[in-house]
Amino acid sequence: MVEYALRLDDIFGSLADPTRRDILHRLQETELNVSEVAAPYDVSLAAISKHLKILEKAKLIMKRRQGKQQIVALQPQTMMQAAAYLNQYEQLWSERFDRLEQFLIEEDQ
Amino acid sequence: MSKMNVIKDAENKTLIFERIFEAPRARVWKAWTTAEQIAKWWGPRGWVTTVKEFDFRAGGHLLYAMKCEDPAQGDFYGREEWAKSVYETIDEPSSFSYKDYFTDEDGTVNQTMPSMTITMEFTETPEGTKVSSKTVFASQDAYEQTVAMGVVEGVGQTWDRLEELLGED
Repeated sequence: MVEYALRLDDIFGSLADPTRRDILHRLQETELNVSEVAAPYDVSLAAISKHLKILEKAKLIMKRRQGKQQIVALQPQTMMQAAAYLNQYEQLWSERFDRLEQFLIEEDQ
Repeated sequence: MSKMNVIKDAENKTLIFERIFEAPRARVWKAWTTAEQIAKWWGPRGWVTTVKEFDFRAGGHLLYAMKCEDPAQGDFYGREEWAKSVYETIDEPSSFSYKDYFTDEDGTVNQTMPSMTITMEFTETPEGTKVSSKTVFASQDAYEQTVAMGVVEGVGQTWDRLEELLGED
């Protein structure tokens, strides 16, 4: 069945930016601290912090404190939920078509 | 029973579901476009569809509830979901399109949920009537939506592989 409670807008909105997508790809390999996240990009640390806030709001990443550093890690379950949503949507249509076929057969009789 | 064909068309930002029904096109069209008939099959297995409002014309809408009446579905049992289809174009008997919204029972749209545009096509083939449902997910930027779907799919595959790997133990 379709689970309606998912905030797809937030997820897709966060993925709309190439820098944010790149950050997510890099986090698939390993956790990073905030300066490591920022290092490859030619933008201010403040701009990176803003990107991280958006990703955190969509629950695509989480931050935790380790000593003086903030560690950024992927939250893969959010992606899994989005994938599950698409699968459920497919399942909904599959069942709908099954029932339509059954309905058309019964009507004939 | 024929199987549903799924086409994930990232290039055109769409998801397409197709299936062939052994019935005349006019018959299939009627099942999609009359309230009494929609109510009999629209919901998933174990869910009962009740049509509250129906006006099949461009700009008109279908407002309906789906209620789960199957105790075997656990948490879903007793749950009621309201939704609205707002018809955009109608070209009888070959196609119509609508926007799909989650609503409350008065038809007030829930803005926090994703809305989608769905185009239905009905084509005569030698095997029967081919029904095709094409969904375009709403997004501020359709291109980015595609990327998102690609990313989602990629991650899904990664996890599939991981599960295979774990299963080998």
